[in-house]
Amino acid sequence: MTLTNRAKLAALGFGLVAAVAAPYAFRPFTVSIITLALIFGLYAMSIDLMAGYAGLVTLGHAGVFATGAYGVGYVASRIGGATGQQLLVGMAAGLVVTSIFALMAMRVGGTYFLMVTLAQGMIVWGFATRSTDLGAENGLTGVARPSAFSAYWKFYYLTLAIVLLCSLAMWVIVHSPFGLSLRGLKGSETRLQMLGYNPALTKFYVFMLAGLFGTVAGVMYAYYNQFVSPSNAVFATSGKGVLMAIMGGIGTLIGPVVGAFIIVFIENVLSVHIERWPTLLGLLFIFTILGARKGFVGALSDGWYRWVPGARAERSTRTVSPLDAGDDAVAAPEVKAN
Amino acid sequence: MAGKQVKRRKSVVVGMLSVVMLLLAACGAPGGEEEVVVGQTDDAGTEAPATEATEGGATEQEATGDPIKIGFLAATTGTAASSGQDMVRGWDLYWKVNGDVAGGRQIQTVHEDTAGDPAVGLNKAKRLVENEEVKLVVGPLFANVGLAVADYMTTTGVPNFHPVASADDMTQRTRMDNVLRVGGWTSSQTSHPLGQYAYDEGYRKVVTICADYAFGHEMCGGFTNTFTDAGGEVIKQLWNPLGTQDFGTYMAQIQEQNPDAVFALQVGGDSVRYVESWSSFGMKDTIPLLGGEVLLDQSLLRNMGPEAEGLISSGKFAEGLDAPETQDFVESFDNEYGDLPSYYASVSYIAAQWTANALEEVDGDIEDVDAFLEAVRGLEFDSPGGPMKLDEYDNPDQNVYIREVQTREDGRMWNVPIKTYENVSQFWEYDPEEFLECPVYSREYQGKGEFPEGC
Repeated sequence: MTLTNRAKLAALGFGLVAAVAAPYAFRPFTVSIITLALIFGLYAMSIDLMAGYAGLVTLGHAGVFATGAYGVGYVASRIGGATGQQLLVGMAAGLVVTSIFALMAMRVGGTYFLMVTLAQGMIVWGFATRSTDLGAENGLTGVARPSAFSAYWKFYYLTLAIVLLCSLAMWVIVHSPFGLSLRGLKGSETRLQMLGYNPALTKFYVFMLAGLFGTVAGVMYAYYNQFVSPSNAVFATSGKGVLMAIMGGIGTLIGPVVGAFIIVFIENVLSVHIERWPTLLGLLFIFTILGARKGFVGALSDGWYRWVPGARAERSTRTVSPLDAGDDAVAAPEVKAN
Repeated sequence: MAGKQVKRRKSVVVGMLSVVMLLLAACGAPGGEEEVVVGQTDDAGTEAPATEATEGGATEQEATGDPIKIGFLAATTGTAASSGQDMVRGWDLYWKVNGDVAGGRQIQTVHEDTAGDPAVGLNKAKRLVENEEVKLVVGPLFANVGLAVADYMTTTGVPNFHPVASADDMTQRTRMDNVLRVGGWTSSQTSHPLGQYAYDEGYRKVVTICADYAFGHEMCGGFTNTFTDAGGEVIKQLWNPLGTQDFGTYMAQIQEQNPDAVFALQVGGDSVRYVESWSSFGMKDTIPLLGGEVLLDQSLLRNMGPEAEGLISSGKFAEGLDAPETQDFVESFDNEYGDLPSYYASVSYIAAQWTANALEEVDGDIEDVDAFLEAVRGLEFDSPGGPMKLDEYDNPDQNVYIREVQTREDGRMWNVPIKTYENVSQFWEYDPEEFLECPVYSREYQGKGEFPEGC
């Protein structure tokens, strides 16, 4: 096992131990903020699946996220259904809406993809703010956590388990042949097509997968807050997810989680001490884009290879995969589809 | 390679990682350096009107027991920052003027910013209760944030006062035991009397134009319900989205209807633009305008010009009210901050007054929540907004003033009452139980026609 892998494993192990120990070490409020960061971490990871791996930056993911939350909220607060029904409706609503969105967006790319997804998010937001059945601007209150997980620390462990499970699933996905085709989509759509893949279908699949995990995050978010409001679906929530992924390190799975922790803690904890915390957040974004394009995790990994001699040696011998080479070759003239 | 060195480097990196993680987590631990704003008794107290202060018996009092921490939520950043700041100013002013001791205990306020976002507001409320262990949470500003916070507060048992958030259902269909509208109001409470007033003034055909969200629906519903019950007719209802930049098309639609009067409810910058268009389209001289409270609130009048002069609105607070409590408050607010107080400031001031009076009654024992809330519910007193008393549903019965914008001697504009509806209930003159059987006002349900028919 290489040094780099050992270090990664050590960090992962440490993170897991810290995560399990957190409720014993911190006060209830801190634990619930960590819970929130984990939920947003999952949400940002689902965005990263599209943006980081497949190169499809979505500006409307909050629409999917909010649909899951509203599904739970509607059943809980308007129908009075049991937890099972809430979960069923929440997940089903999220997936149905995702499949419609995916069908709309699968044939476009680049700027058009941005515009289509932006509009999709706004549709959900517009619907949520105007529908009196969904509580309009006031949202839906009275969403209760499942009774077995109502205590803050039980809910934390539940969230941790779900996020770990989803992360594992995403890890398997991005390391599978399908994961490679996602990177192909990012590298060059026309080449992917030439190799016998169907880019539109690949886009549809990845949209559905991102929607699945985004919906899970939305459902958890509804239970976390115990209420649902249109601000779940607002564009700022979509943007926040993308920024979390970028700040943590786009194209990695751990990066979005780190980004989520940074942003959630600035919003909820640092804001107590610093009145102009939105300015701080803005400065941090600017710094990330200018100084650390690969995000927090990217910068850390660069530093690791640069400053640790053993790791530096490893990198120089690392074989370059054909797909990485493909990344560099994107400059080749693109043939118009059709 | 030098294996030892590598190992050391590795442990440094792992160590750094762990430090970062711990730091991230430790940020949440209370640092003990939260911004605790304590009213200053001695310095500011000298400026205060001494007679009123001694009447309350709060000044010059020695603190004997432990301090009481009170959490105060307001949106002090974001779109409603100026309103949020006014809430904070009103609350702080009370403790500055009257001393920060009530019931023998010092009052410490922990301020928190919700940024107008329900999720952030909820987390701030959690922090106040779980980390700061406050005994009372006052605020927040927005109705949607308020509903989220109120829902959480019921699970904690810690009292929650809502001076500003005015969602009707909070003290109507989804009332909760420890959530009280101390100093506050329901949206439709101030527009119910205006509908009656409009009819009494002889208007029979009215067009309404309201901001298209819950607060606008409720304000408009209140007006429409009482106006149509009296015998008037609402010939058209216009709903404009929040943040409307250009009211030109709406002005044209209103003119087309040729109504006897127009009821309008806008918020924030929309209000300023609406009043501006109303005047520049020449409507001001031809059609009487009846505004909801926040269309012409003092916080907006500060940014309006002569186009606002003479406009009529209804509200529970009128800074031009000729009563000693009101004018003392207006004067000390003006001295302290150089502005006339808005309704946001007045209700927060009243909430502080209410809290202090109740604490006096229970000798500062806020830990006995039931006794404290009983004292709060039993109080009757004169405030800058007039006489105050909670109804059975924990919303104040209070005066509603029909106000006219007038210019003061110093050139600033303010709202002066021209007619007073005394002790208006949130249910107006309707039977509460019948009223609560109807749905809350929304785009679909505006209470048109004879009440309670049509619901």
